[in-house]
Amino acid sequence: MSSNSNKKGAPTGFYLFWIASMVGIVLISVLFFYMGISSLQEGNTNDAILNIVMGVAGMGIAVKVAYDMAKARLAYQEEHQEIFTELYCTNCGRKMLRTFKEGDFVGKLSTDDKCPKCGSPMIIVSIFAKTPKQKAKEKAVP
Amino acid sequence: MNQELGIKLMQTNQSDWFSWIFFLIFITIMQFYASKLQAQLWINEIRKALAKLEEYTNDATKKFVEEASKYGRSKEEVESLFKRIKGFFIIQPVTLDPFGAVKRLEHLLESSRDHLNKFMVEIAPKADEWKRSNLRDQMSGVLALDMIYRIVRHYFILGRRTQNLIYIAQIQMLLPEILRIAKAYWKAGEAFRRGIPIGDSIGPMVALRLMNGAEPKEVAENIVGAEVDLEGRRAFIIKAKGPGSEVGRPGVAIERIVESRDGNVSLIIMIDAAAKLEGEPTAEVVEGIGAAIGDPGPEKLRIEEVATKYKIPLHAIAIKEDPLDAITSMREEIAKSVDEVVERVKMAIRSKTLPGDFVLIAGIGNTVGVGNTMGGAS
Ligand SMILES: [Zn+2]
Repeated sequence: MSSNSNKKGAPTGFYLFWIASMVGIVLISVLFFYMGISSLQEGNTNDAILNIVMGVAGMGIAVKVAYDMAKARLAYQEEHQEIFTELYCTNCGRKMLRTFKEGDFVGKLSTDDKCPKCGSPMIIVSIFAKTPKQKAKEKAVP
Repeated sequence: MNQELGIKLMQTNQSDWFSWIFFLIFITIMQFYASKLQAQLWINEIRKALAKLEEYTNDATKKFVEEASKYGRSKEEVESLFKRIKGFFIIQPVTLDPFGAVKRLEHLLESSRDHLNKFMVEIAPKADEWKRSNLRDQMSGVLALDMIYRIVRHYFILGRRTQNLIYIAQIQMLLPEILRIAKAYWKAGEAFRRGIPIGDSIGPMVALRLMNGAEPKEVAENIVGAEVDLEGRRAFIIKAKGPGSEVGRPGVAIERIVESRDGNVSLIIMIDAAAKLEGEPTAEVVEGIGAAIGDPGPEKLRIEEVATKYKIPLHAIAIKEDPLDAITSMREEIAKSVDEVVERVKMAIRSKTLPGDFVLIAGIGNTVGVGNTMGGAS
């Protein structure tokens, strides 16, 4: 795929929004946590527990937001598929793999491709796309 | 400040009745607006998906127009011609009176093939047959994308206007699957544009391997065949005529060959890609009985009828793959299964026929990127 459209990223505003909200959440959580600790030192246990819980929950939310952002970022990166052409030498039986060129088809006697060993033209025996890593992982699940 | 209010609300005791009333009013309002809020969230999700679908459709259209305009017409001409065919449809025949419904469907399919082929001549007059059929199926992908976009847009507008949760929920729940299908059609355009074999091409690829360099001749509309010796049997192998995107009419071809031999055929083997279930490995080779072909009906009917008429066993070899892999560039695992399928064909022939018997082997599927002779020049 030669087009640049499949490498397009998310809009910048999208990232700015997420980063701003994450920084905000982290700041508020730290504030709560700090308030909780100081209440504890003052001996005000009720206040302390509430504030510490709020602080920890806030940090949890921040982690979740960061995770979502990373996921969205990955979703924007369309997997790039490379197409390969497999050639076979009828003279000596040597096999060769190269990237697909327009005009290739299975069964074609390609005069452009000379066997690296004996120099005779080669036959295209197969054309295929390498499986993207992410998809291969999915298939590994029993 | 908001946070302080929140803390106070949580710390309050029963005597603080003001907070309690506030809390109850809040809950009541939420009761009324929860569904509205849910609808709004889902509508937003659909809006995002719709934007993605539009992007796919526009990109596929742009690529098609660019490609088609290389063959004798300007971009503007191609664009205006393409507008004319957008929304192309086939009306299913009446099945209330089922007599001859398949014949009528066959006629409709033939007419639509004709219509599209003539349209391609008009839109790309200088393209050769190979390129023209590839362009035609690249365009079919764009038309499918356009249709998906229209349907989702319909439910989106309907849902937004009526705020009816049923409409919205229906489409929202299907969104991930719809987007997956749309992405496959978008990627399919790329395969047809460049002439790369798709997952469905595994049948013709096996057939070509079995032909083993024999010179084939055309036996039916867009179907070629050649006779070779296989395990001491006379094997007649057919496939769609490549390397352009064609499926041909294998039903007509099989019927014609069997009839020409007065039914003197010991076995019909059909090789085709089949939909795999989730969890099944890609490119698993399985065998069964019946006509392995995924056409809307007419071809399958012809094969079943002629096999029944002469009591010829129908042996099916299927290569399991995701239905979406079937329309996009062939994956490595599928391409690598050719050797195993060839082995299975030989095993079936050895166990089901005697030396000297006549066997008919059909590699079913789209032959895009797969030629007609091993070692043939274009
Ligand atoms: Zn060589």
